[in-house]
Amino acid sequence: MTGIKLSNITKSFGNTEVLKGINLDIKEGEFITLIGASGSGKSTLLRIISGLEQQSSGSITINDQDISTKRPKDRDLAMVFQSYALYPHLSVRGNMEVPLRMRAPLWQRMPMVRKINKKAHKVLKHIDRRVDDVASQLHIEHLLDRKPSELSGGQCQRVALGRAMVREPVAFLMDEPLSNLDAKLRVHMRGELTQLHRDLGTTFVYVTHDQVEAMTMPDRIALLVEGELIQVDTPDAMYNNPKHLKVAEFIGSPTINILPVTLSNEGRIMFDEQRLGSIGFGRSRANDSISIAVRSEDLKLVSTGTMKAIVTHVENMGSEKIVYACADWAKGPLAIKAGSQVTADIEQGGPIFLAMDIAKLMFFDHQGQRIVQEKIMQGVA
Amino acid sequence: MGYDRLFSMLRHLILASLALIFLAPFIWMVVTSIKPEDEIFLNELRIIPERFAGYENYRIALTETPLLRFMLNGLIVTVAIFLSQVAVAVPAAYALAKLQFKGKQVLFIAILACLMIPPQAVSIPWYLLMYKFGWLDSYAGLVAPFSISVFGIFLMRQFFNTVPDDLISAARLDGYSELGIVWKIMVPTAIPALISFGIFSIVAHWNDYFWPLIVVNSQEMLTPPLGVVAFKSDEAGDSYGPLMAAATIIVAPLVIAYLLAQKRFIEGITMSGMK
Ligand SMILES: Nc1ncnc2c1ncn2[C@@H]1O[C@H](COP(=O)(O)OP(=O)(O)OP(=O)(O)O)[C@@H](O)[C@H]1O
Ligand SMILES: [Mg+2]
Repeated sequence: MTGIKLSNITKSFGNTEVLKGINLDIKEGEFITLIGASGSGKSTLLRIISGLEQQSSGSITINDQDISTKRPKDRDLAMVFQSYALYPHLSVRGNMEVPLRMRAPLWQRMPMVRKINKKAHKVLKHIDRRVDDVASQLHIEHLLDRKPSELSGGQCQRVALGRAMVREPVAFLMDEPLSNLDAKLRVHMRGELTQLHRDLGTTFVYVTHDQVEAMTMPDRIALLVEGELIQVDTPDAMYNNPKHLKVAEFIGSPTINILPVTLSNEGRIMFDEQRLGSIGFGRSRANDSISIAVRSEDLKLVSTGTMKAIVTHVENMGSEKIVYACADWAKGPLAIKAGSQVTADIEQGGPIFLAMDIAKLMFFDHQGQRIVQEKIMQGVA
Repeated sequence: MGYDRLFSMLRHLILASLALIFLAPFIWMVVTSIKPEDEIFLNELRIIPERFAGYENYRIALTETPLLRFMLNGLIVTVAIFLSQVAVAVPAAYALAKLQFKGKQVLFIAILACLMIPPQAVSIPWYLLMYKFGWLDSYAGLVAPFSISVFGIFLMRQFFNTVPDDLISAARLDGYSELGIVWKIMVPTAIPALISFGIFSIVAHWNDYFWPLIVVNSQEMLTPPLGVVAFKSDEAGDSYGPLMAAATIIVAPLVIAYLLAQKRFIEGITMSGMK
């Protein structure tokens, strides 16, 4: 199999287990984002792939070749760091040359050898040309003679990308490369990176905790929660078909609404003694606690009904508004996304009535596992 | 406004007078070095001598004793000490700041403890060691006890701690060996720290009087401060003019070096030279 394959990777620092058995197949040329809360082990996983950190157990193969114990420089991977990690004492050109120079034999890199030896001259000339090519691809030709301290954040990140690109590695590993940039530049670079991925066709493993980056850029998303990969899927599937409550909670903004409910002894969903629609779970789940998850856009505002809530505040996003409300039956806050017209007469502290599209509801058992649709009996009398 | 002005003037006045107090002995040394014998001990405070005797004082200082030889000794010893201190301190500081190994904390505490040992306290063991090695009265004997500077290790460790870990990770991925990282990545980023350490080290060992006094016997091996004292007892007797001329000559290299590296030195002390 081509691509990067992680099997049963675990990592402990002292007594704390940071990664608990990671299995992941990254296809060749794929753009995969690794997301998860702070401290979930994203950077650690990336550093293990790169070889900067040694896994406690498990193996990594690239194109069927076991690289588990190889040193970082022999893995043919390139990494881009959040802090850019440019060598402060080298010019931009110097920084970009490093990965190629360090792989030339030592004698060829000696000062003056270039002037005497034809072969060394050729090698170094080739490096120069490669750096020029990459620089023009990233539009940083005019910066080649500057020092990193004379660059803006965005320019630094381009140089860091360039340094990763010159060597044409098997895969790029990126650890939150855009999070030090301001919002506008981040949007711009996001587009550029996706374009770059399309042009290069190289595998990208991209760590982020930015929702939008995670959703818009990749072919697949891998969600890491406390050292475990909970779901690896396309952005679409992660959003519409989460397999675990944590996935539903993590993906999407505003956060999905979660309604904790207890089933009746007949397996029906009860809100304040009232049955919800015609859904039932059968007697096998009688008296279970489950969670109903519903996206903010699947909650509808209606003029009257049984689901009453009180508005806490309203966020105006321009084309739409997000209404935050609370209700006893929801046992917590709710977020409702609605068009501007519908929300025109809503005011803070006022009552609203909600309706749910039952087909859009997602159910999770008390361990957070999705209750698959077949198990839900529709139309139980 | 007027108050601010007054305050600023007052502040400068205080600073200037303090500077004058610290500079006074130095100025007196230079002034004495150009005075004739009979003008040195006068009842009055005379800054500018009536008869300029600088030429003969400096001629005596340079010809009566091998002052240049002493200065060459000083140069060899201080440079050798500094180079070996750097060769040891930089890799050691890198390991302490950036590598993980068992006993790192204990080792660091041990280094801090060494900072507190006064050199005089260990001078007798050192003397015996130098005797056993047969290094008494030689450059090796002058250099060896100072070839490892715990202060240098400490200073460089503090500086390396501020270098981001990502930079080292990047270097490892780019193919640098650990020694490559130390000398090609860490050292270039730590130039201000190295310069200020260099000044501390060179000034301390150029001016060191205690240890050379113990290990050195023969005149060819004398370092500059010993040379000046030898000058006083042997040749000049009570002639303070040539003595002060000799003293001026031996501090001159330090002052010149300091003035040349002044900007870097202040950078190094404030450690703000890095971005
Ligand atoms: N060298 C280390 N020694 C001990 N613990 C570590 C080490 N590196 C990471 N950890 C721990 O491992 C856990 C995962 O860290 P990691 O840096 O992978 O998180 P992350 O998902 O990248 O978080 P963030 O989004 O904040 O970057 C954290 O709890 C962290 O404290
Ligand atoms: Mg991280």
